[in-house]
Amino acid sequence: MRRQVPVILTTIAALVVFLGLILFKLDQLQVVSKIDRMRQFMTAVMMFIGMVNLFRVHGAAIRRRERTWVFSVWLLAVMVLYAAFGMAVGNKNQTYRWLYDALVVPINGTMFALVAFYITSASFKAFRAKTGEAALMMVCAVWVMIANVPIGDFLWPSTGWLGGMAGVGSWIVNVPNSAVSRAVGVGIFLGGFATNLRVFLGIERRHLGSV
Amino acid sequence: MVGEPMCPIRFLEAKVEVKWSVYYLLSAASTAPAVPKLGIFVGVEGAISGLITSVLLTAMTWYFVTAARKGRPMPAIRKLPGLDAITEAVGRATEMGRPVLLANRTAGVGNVHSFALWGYMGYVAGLCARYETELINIAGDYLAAAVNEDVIKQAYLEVGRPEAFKADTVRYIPGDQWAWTSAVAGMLKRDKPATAMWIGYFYAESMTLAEVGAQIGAIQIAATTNTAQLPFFIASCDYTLIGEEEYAGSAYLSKEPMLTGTIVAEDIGKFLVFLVVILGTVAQIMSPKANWMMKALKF
Repeated sequence: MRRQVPVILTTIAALVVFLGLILFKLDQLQVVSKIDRMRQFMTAVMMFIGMVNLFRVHGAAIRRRERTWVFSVWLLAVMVLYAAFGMAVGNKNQTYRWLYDALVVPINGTMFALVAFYITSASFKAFRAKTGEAALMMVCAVWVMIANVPIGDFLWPSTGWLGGMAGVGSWIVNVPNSAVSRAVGVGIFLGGFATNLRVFLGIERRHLGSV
Repeated sequence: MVGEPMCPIRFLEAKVEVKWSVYYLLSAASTAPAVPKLGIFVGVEGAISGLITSVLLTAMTWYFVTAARKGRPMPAIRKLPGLDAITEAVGRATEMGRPVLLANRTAGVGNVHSFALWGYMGYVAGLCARYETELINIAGDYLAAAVNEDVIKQAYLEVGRPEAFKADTVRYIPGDQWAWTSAVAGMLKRDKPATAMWIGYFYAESMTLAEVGAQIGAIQIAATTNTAQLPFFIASCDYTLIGEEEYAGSAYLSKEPMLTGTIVAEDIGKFLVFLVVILGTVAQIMSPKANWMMKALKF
């Protein structure tokens, strides 16, 4: 019973949402948007519970003077002060926005910028032509890279045969690369559909605590 | 490269959504435009063809699941080296006395990637419990973190070692893209797991995670359906499951015939799509202006 009820509820909810998107009457009754609003409400309640939980966990850490208790104080102080300030001045206030933009955005940008260095080290590993396939991939990758910088046009101008270096580069990206991407895309759709079906039909029950 | 929109943009999107829903409510109450109707169906392009496709795929899945339930033999799933390597990777972590890390940032409870992930999680947790190896799971969604706990506890229980579950086995880090990535990269450097598994939908953080994992010498297994991030995982990880292979993982690992039945139905679906592509190509070559395949599918 403990496992059957969630499976039945899942199947009913899935059917209602699915039919709500295609049947005229259910679309008129806005069934899907009503269910979505319930979900939004539940998310808001969970946010509140999350805040209470943070206070419990970090409050206990501060009381016990754990190794990282200073960070717990910092976390709770920032959370409370920023929320209180936002509620007092509203989320359109320039200072409120500046606090976020001046702190979080540069930190995010810095982390994102690190990707450039990681791409360089990953490329070094990827471009080792150990096998025929790897060599082919390396040639294609180098070709597309050169085609996208001015030296590509200098070596083989785009006014020339086959549209030059850029023309061949575009063909690699738009024809073989696109074809494979779309084939993978079809597989992903069908795989996702099959996974959803497994859940809706109650065959996949790992999330309910059983195989 | 695909980067997730940063928070200010997300915030604006939320505002637009609120405005839209207010508009929708008001318009529904007063001047609701007549929704087109096609019999009992919504007159939206693709509604009926979508229904037919869904019913066809469901019927096929149902048929193969029933066949598996009756004990009819199911075709074997082809070998996936990335999945076969999981046992070896957990074994290596055991030998080295280091933890196994399994992470996903974006998948919430209603997300198809979560259902795929829980298949892997149950299997890996079972192996870790059997080999007495520490497992670290990092979740980026608070609801998913709660389910992750249950899945891992259950797997430990099935192996007969419920006491192996520790309070910090599942670590919830809010899923803001770069904050989450920094935290996980830090954990990789500090905890030095011998095995790192990245299962689910990843954005630009895939490169950072996989490269930091490679720096600490972890065996890395990745599975994603984000085609834009696949090259990064392929370059930096030891094994990468491409696209649908991520979804097939739970069926492959559980060796459950009913789950395998759904994979068979999926493969037949793929064959049908292939047939439509061939027919469409032939039709387009024979009569480029008639566009009849497009017209046949547009209902």
